[in-house]
Amino acid sequence: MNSNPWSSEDAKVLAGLPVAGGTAQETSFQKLQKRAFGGEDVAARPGAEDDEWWPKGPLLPGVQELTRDFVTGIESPESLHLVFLLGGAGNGKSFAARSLGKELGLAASASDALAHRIYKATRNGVRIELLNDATIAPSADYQSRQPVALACDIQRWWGESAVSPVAAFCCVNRGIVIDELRSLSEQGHDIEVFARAILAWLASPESDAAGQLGTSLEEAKLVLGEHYHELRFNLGGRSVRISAMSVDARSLLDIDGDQSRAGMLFQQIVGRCRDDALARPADCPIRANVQQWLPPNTILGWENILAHAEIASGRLHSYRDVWGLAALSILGPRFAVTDGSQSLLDHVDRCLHKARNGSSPKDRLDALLELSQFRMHNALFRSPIPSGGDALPFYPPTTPAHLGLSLVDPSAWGSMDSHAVEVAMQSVALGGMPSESLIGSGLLDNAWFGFDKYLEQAIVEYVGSDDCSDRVRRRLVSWFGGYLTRLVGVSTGRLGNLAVVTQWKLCREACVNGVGKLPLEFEKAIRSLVFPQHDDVPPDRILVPAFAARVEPLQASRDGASPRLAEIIPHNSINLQVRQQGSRLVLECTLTGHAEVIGQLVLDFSLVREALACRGRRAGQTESTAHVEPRIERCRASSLSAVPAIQRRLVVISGGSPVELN
Amino acid sequence: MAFAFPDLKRPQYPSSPEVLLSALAWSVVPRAPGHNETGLIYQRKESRAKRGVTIEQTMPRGQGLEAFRASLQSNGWTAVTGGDLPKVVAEAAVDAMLGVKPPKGVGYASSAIGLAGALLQDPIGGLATKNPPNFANLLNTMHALGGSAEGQTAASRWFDVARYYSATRELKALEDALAGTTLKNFLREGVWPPNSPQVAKASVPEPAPSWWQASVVSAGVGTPFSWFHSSWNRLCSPEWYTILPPRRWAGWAVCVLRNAIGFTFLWEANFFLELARGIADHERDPTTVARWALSPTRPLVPYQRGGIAQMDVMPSIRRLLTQGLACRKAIIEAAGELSDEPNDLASLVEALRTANPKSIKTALGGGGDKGGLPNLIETVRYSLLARSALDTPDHHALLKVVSRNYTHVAPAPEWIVVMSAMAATGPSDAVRLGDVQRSLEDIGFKPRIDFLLGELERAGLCASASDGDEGIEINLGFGRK
Repeated sequence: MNSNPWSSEDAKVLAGLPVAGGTAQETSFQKLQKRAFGGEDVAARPGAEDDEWWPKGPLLPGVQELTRDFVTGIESPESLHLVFLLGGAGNGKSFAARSLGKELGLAASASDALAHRIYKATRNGVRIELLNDATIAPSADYQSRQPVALACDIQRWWGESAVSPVAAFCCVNRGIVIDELRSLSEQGHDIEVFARAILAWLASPESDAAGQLGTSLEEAKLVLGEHYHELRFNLGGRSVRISAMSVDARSLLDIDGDQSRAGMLFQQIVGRCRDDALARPADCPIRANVQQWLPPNTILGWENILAHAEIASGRLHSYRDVWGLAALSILGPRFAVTDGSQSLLDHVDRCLHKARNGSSPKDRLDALLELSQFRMHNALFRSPIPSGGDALPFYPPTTPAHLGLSLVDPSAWGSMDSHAVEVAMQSVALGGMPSESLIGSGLLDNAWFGFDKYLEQAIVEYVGSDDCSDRVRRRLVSWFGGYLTRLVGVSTGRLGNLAVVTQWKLCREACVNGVGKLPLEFEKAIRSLVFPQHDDVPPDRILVPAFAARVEPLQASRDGASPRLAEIIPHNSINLQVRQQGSRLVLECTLTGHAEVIGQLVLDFSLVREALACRGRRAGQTESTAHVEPRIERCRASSLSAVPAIQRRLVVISGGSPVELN
Repeated sequence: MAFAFPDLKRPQYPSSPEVLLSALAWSVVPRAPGHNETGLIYQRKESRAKRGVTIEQTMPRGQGLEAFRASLQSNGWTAVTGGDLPKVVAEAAVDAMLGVKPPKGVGYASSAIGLAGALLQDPIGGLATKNPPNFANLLNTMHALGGSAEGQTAASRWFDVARYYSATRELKALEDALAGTTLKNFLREGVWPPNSPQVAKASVPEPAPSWWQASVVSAGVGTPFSWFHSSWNRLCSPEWYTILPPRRWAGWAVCVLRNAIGFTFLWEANFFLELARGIADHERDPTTVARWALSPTRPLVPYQRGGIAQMDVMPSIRRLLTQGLACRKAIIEAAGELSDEPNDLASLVEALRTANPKSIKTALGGGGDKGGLPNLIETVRYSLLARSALDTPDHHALLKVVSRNYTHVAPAPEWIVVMSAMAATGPSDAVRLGDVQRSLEDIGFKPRIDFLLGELERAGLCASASDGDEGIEINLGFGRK
């Protein structure tokens, strides 16, 4: 192992600590840490620009066109032009608003560190306002109408537009719209129909805002895709244009050209960290992380992990999540300081020092195990770290993203390469290095670095020594098998539950134009779930208890001893189709020859898994069955109730074949 | 004239919740003269009823089963293989009509589907008592207190739905067979099949006080009454009943009725307790007192995580009902003695502060008249509690007995589905977490958003949403778009 090539002063510089006689410059790692667990502020302030270091993620398609349209609209203004960017926190709404503010010359006062709800200006006789609804409405301005602050602002703009043109650009969380509508329905708050209709339209664009306002709609000026809606009308002699765009309607992992928006951002972040990382010792896990992500093709692998996690959790990552995941992929998880260190790098350096100069193989190994939590694959999949004398698992802190990542962990759920890793691990018994065969077969391409090598050496050395008890040996070997499986998974892109994610992607491709048919084999599996077969009934029919509280199919004549009244219902006229609704897929049931949807089922990761567990028209079992079954039952009940009565037959099951009734 | 409060009949809870639907049914379908005293229950158990109460089983058995079989056959049920309809078919049909099996009570109710299905039991049979509460009047009054009735009552709305199901191909023959055999003696001659509701006088709802109309109904204040009114109207609308199978509709209807009754009496207790506190504390603003009385600030059923004993809801329910009942009696009595009738609740608070009756302080101090308390506590508890056997599980309960001595909030699988569905205007309308939360707040159940989300996820109702909190979309799974 290398001797320590770093002086304590060098370490302080890298860790960003003050050095005697000078002020340390902020390192890229320290910068990145600032956004590891969320944004720096609740809302970006106009005029408070980031410094040059910070890379910028591309805006959602359409946002730039929308802001440009807002600016050009000032030249030939409508009486009232309102633009709403809708979406959850951390999706770049206020970032877009800040760019717009810069373009309009709006700036917060330099001495004012707080983000305000509204920034105002006047251009070309138009009163312009930038509104960020994430910022609490000041009670002094809104008083008792604080719970309906946005409605209040819309009402005010409508009133002011009678005097001079008003243009407002608003960043709004959809949850706030729902909250305000709720407050409005509970108490009047003197909010008139105009603001109410606009809020209702923001919550559900299908709502008839024009009808409520007693006007008719004109053609939209902009067409920017499904995530954009526009209302244009003339009311009381005033021209009104309302635009609304959902900034979180599409995944940041959707490939746009060669890369996704998240990938583009991550590549820039890796580039910013490059020099600092390469200046680190060869056995540093953070250096290994950055080295791993430096080749451009590995960014695709990173995008692949995040995309799979999104599908598994059913939750789209926001830019805020992406920043957190970027930090996790480079710096590792949050950690508890127990050694008096003052920063991440200080802690890493202390561990490295111990790993090199520890008094025993166990001490050296413990230091490397502690460092292993910072290695990207362990951090992303939240791998437990063996700790203490018994090598008991210690779990690093979790993040919301782990909900999805844990479902695609190749070590927990098995991958196509698990067997190869298992075979490679056999060599540990003979004192060999498992990585050798994996590197030879190309399974660790671009994934094996100095830190991994030192860790492997230390583990093989320690488990081969007499100091290591059998129990600890088993735990360490098992853990290192998981370590390699995850590393191989990241390298090859073959993650856990790959078949489920692939199937879900196939379904999404099938409905890329809105609605589509399910892949043939998968449709059979879904049918087995929704309409399970009975032993004594033709395969295109389902047998359900008559007048039962729930439509839980009978599957064998032996179900119950007493005579049972049941219904045989044909389901061959019920067709399945899949529809894309924003970021999610919905399975829809229709009757042949009818467009009406008679049953719905959200097609998510759990349902796909459940369907893939079906074997030959028999429903399988997964650990999610208890969660998935109720919604399958509701869809079944709703769909079957639409089958015409003339096609249904009552039967009695009594210890054998059904007795059919006329 | 004395200040009028919402006039709710004192309750007593039937062991089989389906009896609530049956009470509505018998309030709009006339009974044969001379049979009003006999109680009906679908399946009689061994246990004895109170002295002087006659209860008849309506489940066809023995010779009755043979008559029922013959009637089914004459109404069109035949085996495909030909010949007489096998007896086993009648047996299976009779079993299919059985509802949830409670562990206590004199018998089991039917599942109350359709018209005849709901007439298979009545409150006398369900409670095994000579003078059961008039549930139809109670439910109609609660419905009327919740909003504009437009000439409709809870019972008449139920009638429209039951008549729809009764005419469906799958139920018609069964209904006619029941009406022609086991129910024949109890239905007034010529009444079957009923074409319109014939409202019994005793079930006509009590009129809402004028202050209630102005301060609660017109002001849109959320109460268990407004929740019941909108939920019942929604459930009894064609949008819902045409897509729900009859048994599921009946299950949902019973769920709505149980929650309405349970939370109404909790709300009433809280209402009088808050009023009493406001009357006793002269420093509080009377308008705030009135507002807090109408809209509880704390959950009426606490839903919290913790140790098994900490999660027990019965101590707080019992305490609230005990205090509320004593305060109710004290306030009604004191209000009756006022010389001038106050215009609204705030004026009542002021007037009673001036009158300063001792009885209110006594009630707040734990004294006063608590007659009817055991029935009240039982009504609330059993309305919300799961009671079922393994073969007929209760899917619609909110509470569950844990480890014999503790009662926890543990929504059964269909409870959250019904609550979410009732928060949507129709099966195909968008409903969000905020809508469900608001709807539950109306009845006085105020779960933490993460608890609610957990229940929704467990029931597979939550469609993922990119923006969280109240904006999370609920997918009910019922189509018709």
